[in-house]
Amino acid sequence: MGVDRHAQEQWGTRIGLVLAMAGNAVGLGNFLRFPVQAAQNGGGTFMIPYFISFLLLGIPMMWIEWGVGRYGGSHGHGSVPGMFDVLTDKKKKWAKYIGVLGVVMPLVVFIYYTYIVSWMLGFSVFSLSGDYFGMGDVDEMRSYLASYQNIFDGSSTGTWVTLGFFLLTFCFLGWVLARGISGGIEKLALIGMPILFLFAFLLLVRVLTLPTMAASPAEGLNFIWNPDFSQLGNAKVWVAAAGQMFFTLSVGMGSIQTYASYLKQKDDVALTGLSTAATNEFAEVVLGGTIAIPAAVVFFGVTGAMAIAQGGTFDLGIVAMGVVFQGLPGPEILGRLAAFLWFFLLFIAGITSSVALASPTIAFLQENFNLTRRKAAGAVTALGLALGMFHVVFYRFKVLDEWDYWAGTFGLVVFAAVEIVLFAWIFGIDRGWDELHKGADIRIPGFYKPVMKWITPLFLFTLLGWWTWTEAIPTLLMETVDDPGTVPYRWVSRGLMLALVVVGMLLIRKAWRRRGEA
Amino acid sequence: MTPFALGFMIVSMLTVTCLAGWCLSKIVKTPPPGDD
Repeated sequence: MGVDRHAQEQWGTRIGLVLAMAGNAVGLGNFLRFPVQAAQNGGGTFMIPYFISFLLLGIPMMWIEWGVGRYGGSHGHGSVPGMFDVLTDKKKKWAKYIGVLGVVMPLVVFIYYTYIVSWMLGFSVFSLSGDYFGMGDVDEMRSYLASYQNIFDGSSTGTWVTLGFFLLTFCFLGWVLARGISGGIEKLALIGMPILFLFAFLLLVRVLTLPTMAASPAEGLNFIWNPDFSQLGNAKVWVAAAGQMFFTLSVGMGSIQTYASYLKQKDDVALTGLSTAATNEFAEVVLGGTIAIPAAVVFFGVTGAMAIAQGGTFDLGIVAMGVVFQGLPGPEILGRLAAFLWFFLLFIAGITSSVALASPTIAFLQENFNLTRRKAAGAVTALGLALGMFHVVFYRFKVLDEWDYWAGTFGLVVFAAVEIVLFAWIFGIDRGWDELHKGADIRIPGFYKPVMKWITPLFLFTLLGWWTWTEAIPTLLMETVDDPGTVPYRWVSRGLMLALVVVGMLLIRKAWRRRGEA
Repeated sequence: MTPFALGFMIVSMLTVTCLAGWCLSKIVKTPPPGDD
């Protein structure tokens, strides 16, 4: 079953693989979440733990996930349950059940993330048509976005428009996924990623050449890069930086392993893994940090931009940027064009991540239930559409926040902690180190061996403990909910996630029984 | 922009750009492994 599938599906070119992996990693987080996190956590001070996290958490986890994926793929597994099973030499029956996280979490994130990506497609079109042009202040723009997000409020774009972009995005995704690894996902990356970098570069030049208004572009950059050293001893800043590393590199998710499972046994993972991480960092630090925040500072001043950044990623990326593009000097058409570049850039960044998020579930269905790629892609797209409708209809009750926190935030760290224990301690760091160097084009620096065995797990478990104590328990008990009216909907949202985990575990049991290995 | 912020930004951006550039150029130059 699985072995045949891996013989049938492979990456066409190495650069295509790197771009697809970079497409997986480069997402909305690079252009929206990173500048907000930097601004909220001491600017330049945030960058110090950020780079330390990159070296001690991001790069080692990236290599481990590539290694686990290729190793699993060589044993006929394209999804995490089978990979965890072979990492323990099939001796620990629980490992494959924990692997359910590597199938359900990316599926959950895929569903709500793709809904958000569909907003970017919608705003790309609204930018070209000038639909929101004329809403020149933040409050008007915020109302416009809220109306778009609430399908029962047709005051801005109308119910069917939101639904239409949602359906269009999912159908496009389903089409790409059904075309397979080299024919769909790799081609999307080969076309989409150069466009993304081109658009980001054009926007970067436009932002840096803006005239001084409320402030200058340099003051915007200073806002991100100037350190407030009093914050360096603040644990919250370190946790925020480590958390950003997870989101930005897409580690702890399950999608990297699935992409790497399509490699041949002698394909390099050391250089390509590092390339993915480095390309993502370029997109984040150089491009992501130089567009939204500096533009917001120019228009709203440092204090105004700070207030907007505190409001979150959508307040900055959609509301504030929507106002910024309307106020650009020159004819309105240039503002519309710049707005289109921004939102379509976000759409490409999001869609290349969405295909990666859907891939683990598709691989799981293919390898365990002998489905063709087309049928598996169709099943995942249909499930995504059905569960995505839950978010479309109930978005205003914050059901998406629940999925984002448990699957897209806390779950990543839980999964990564389990994975590194399996790789460095149960599979064994010596075997793991040898595995990473099979066919390697570079030698991984020797100090990373103790880092993978001791430092990264310690870092992860500290992060996990801190988050559990300060965030997860209060969140679980709904102590942080500001609107009590959303509580019942939030519980339904959690129930749906739990149901997916249970179904996933039952499917794993069924699959292993079919093979006579349960 | 303070001199420290400017220096920190330039060093950080140059470092990640050079790392990404080095990795990608090495990938382009390295021939793929032959099949078994």
